[in-house]
Amino acid sequence: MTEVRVVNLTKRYGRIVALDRVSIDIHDGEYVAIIGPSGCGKTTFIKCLAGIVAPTEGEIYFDGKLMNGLPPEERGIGYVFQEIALFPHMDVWDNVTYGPLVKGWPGDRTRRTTRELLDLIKMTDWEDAHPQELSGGAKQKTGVARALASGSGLIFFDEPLGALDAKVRVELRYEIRNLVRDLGLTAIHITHDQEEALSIADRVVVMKAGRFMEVGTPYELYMRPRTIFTANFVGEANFLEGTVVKVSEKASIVDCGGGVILESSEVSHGEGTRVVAAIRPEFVSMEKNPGGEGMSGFVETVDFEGSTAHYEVTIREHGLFAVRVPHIQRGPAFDVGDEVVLRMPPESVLLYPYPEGGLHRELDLEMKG
Amino acid sequence: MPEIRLVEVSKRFGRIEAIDDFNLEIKNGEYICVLGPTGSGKTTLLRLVAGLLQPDEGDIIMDGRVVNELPAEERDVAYMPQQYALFPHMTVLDNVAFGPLSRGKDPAEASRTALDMLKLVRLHERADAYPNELSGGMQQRVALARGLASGAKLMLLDEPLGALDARLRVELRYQLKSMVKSLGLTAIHVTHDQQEAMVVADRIVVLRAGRSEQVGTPFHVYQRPDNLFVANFVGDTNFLEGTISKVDSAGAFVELRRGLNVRVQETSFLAGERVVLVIRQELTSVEASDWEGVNTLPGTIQAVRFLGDFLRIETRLTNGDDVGAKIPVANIGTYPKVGGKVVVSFKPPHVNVYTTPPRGLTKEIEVA
Repeated sequence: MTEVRVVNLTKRYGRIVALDRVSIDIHDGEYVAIIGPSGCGKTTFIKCLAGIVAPTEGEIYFDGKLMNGLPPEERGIGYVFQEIALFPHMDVWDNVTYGPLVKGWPGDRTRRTTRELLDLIKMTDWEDAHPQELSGGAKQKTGVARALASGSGLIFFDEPLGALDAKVRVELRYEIRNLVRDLGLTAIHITHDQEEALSIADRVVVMKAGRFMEVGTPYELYMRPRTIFTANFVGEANFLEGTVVKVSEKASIVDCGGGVILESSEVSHGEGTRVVAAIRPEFVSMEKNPGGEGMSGFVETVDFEGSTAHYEVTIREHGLFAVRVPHIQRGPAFDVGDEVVLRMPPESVLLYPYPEGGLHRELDLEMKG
Repeated sequence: MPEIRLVEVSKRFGRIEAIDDFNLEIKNGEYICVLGPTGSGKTTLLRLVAGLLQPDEGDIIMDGRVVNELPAEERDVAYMPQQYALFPHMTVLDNVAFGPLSRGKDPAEASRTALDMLKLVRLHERADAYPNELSGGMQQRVALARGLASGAKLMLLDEPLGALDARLRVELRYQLKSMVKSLGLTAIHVTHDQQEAMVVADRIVVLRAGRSEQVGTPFHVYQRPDNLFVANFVGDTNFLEGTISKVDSAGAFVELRRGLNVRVQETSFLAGERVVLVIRQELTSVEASDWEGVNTLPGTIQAVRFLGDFLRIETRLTNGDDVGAKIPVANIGTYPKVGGKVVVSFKPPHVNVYTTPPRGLTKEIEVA
């Protein structure tokens, strides 16, 4: 319901720059997820939007209206945290109606909204229960309903599923997504779980060190990441260093040394450019064919993942290369020690200019140190 | 070298049966994952083995000796609780060297051991840092190194990767397993994350309300879940309820609600029996077609979820049942659209058949 515009938002704590000139336009009804390693500034960003933290510079507009300086309660927002503190002495119904009551809404409007919300999150049967009688997931749903009951058009989720079991987390993320859609709300959702972000968001923002590295649809970010950092952070990737040796209209050839030659459908890097090639494990095909054409190596590890099998193959002069093969009913088809040949379609070989600070630094997921 | 047996172990807290008649034999060098939802008794189980709790019934046997009464410090175990506490005033190296020192090793040797373990967790370059200078993930690795350095042969790990970002967790799970294996240790690792359990474990124990629901290799537990709870908790699963309509020598037919039919290979059921069909979402396919028949069921796409390496297509069948299909992104031709008319299909050998539970499917598979 709310349209959000953020312009050059910056937050400094002393010498530390927590947010560094970030800008974004979020449409009415859009669901935006923000992902990034711990300490990248995700929470600072939504705290600025919520009015809990005052930005050092930059502007925040909701529906065209400048929000800077307005207190949280005048911004028309809802906020859901990882650890929601429900009132322990109140039942589910009273927890949800608390906001509207404080705002002095008429009783029938409060009742109608609460009834609708509890229906949507399938908690109607639990309206008389107290928080300690609820499972973690049910508590979290009640917290979401409470945050929405006051009629906010914009809702912030800060790791709303972080404290839940993996299985419950997956179920609940779709429930939250559907609820936000049914109510026509705009949402900004912070998570460290990239699969969660990809599966529910219209657009995903990748953050690193206070900056928006990349903004795009889940599909774009996954299939065509514009940076090495995104390629590594969103999904897994193998990285090989090499030099472009030939560029034609449709493909370029990259020599990675040790006899490894890759063909990529990206043609924007000139001959002689030092590049990093990124290849997702699930786009690589593998077969037992010693001496066959392709990148050859020996299977080093075999891990059964359930719907997939994950292999690491030692490539001479390059080290380990990950391959993920969709589930086969009979189980992993390769054993440790097997000699295999790897192939990858040119459109799955993504190329990036070699980063100035070195590849290792570019891939670092831990911000401290 | 530790060989552990738990025989009919029970532990109660008041009226709550935290661990209920639990049996398990763990071989020397084995990596066991205990998988279950919050409150299933995972931590209690670890604390029993660690010696921090005593069983009310049954025996805990280590290398042939009953250790029920043996205090924690006299068991050869390293217990890493979920909330690990590093000594804030000590450097990373001193934190890790603490165990060997307190076991009477001389300082030089203790430091050497500590440094070796820090190398394993790739933190040797941060040996002089203090815990508060490290990220949460690094601190967790220090705690792990401290456990490894203690010299104990049995590692008890309570959500050892729980505090990490999802991306780092995936990376470290492979390392954790190879570290434990290369040091020849035995490990019991507790987690609620089935993907993690699948990758690190030699064998998985699925725990629910203090009881072991299934014990087996990841492959076995995944392919042949003993019951509906395990089928739901491990992997992404479709459940379809129906009635056996006909049995022949090669299998059976199952009639779903409103006349949809499924062929299965299972022959051990009788006509008229109420059953639940279990099909993995990655063994379910979706096609834009209007050809329908047995195991090819018509429906409409409700949602398309992009998961990265997979696309999950959620379809509502014409009889109202919901079916999910996980399709590898590498195999996607045209991107499916919500509202599209499709058929959902699966092969008879990919359908596992279970008796409909007396208390109903929903209650039976409930996680929370």
